[in-house]
Amino acid sequence: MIIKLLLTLAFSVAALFAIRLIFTSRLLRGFFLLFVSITATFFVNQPELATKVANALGVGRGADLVLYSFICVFALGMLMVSSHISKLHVQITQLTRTVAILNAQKYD
Amino acid sequence: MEASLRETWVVVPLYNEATVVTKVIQGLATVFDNIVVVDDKSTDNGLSMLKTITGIWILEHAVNLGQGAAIQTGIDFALSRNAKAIITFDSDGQHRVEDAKAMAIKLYSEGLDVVLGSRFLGLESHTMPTAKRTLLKFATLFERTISGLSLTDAHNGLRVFRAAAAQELNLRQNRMAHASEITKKIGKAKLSFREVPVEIIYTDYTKAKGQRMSNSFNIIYELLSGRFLR
Repeated sequence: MIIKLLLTLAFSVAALFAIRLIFTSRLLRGFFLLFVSITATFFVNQPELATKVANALGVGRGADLVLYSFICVFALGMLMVSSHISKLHVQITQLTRTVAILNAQKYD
Repeated sequence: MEASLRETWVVVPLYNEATVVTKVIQGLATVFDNIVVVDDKSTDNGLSMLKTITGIWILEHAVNLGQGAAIQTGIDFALSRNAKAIITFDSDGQHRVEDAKAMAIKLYSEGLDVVLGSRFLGLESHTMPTAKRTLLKFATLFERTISGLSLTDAHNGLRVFRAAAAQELNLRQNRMAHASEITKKIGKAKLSFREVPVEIIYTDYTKAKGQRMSNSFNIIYELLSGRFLR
């Protein structure tokens, strides 16, 4: 099936990227992405495996398991992005404040 | 006392109050020598009007950050110029200069860390809309649970801080939740404070421009996310 081929190709590229992350010392992100790529490749090529894992976990179908996992990862991802944006706001505030104080004027 | 008043700085956060700000600053200048206006990227011409007044410091935020941020910028600046005490004063004409003066005098004569203005201590404003009064009472109850302080008016912009107390503030809430942050930090640092009756002047102009009451939800959200996301 062509979809299996395309997905396997996509996940292989992701795995290569993960290896690059590992080699540039971003270990947590690297290993996580590698794990996800390998797991995803297995499930795409052996869908019965996904169903077996899903059943063991009390979920009906492999696809359902993937959906639930995706929701969790997505929510976590959103929280991390929000946290990062908050930190950016703090930096912007500090920058703006410094500039304002440096350019303080008293008109005589 | 005269000397102390001369070393008292007034921080005025400004955002689009061109119609009244000149009068407000002129009123302050009759009593106070050190006034710093922090413009939060206003889009009207209030700032250019103010630049014709001599003797006041003007700081400009390059981007709009919020009233809390403007106040903190003003506080940082005043402290760097060795302010003995700092007064926060609104630029919209709702505060009275005589109240600010009385609060500063009280701070010095009673050796307090903070003096807070309250709308609900006798000088009841005849012009306050009822719905706003009710909402403020709820806000006060909310504040009590968050900060442990029993204030009668939690969101009053007229405050005086001794320099050492002002140094404790380090406001991180940029927008209107800064009022809650101030209350909380006063409680946490166990600063000595008193509430003093002040009169807030509500006019059609300020009633139209005032904080939307639905902003309470934004404030609660900002307080909660401030706790968890940083």
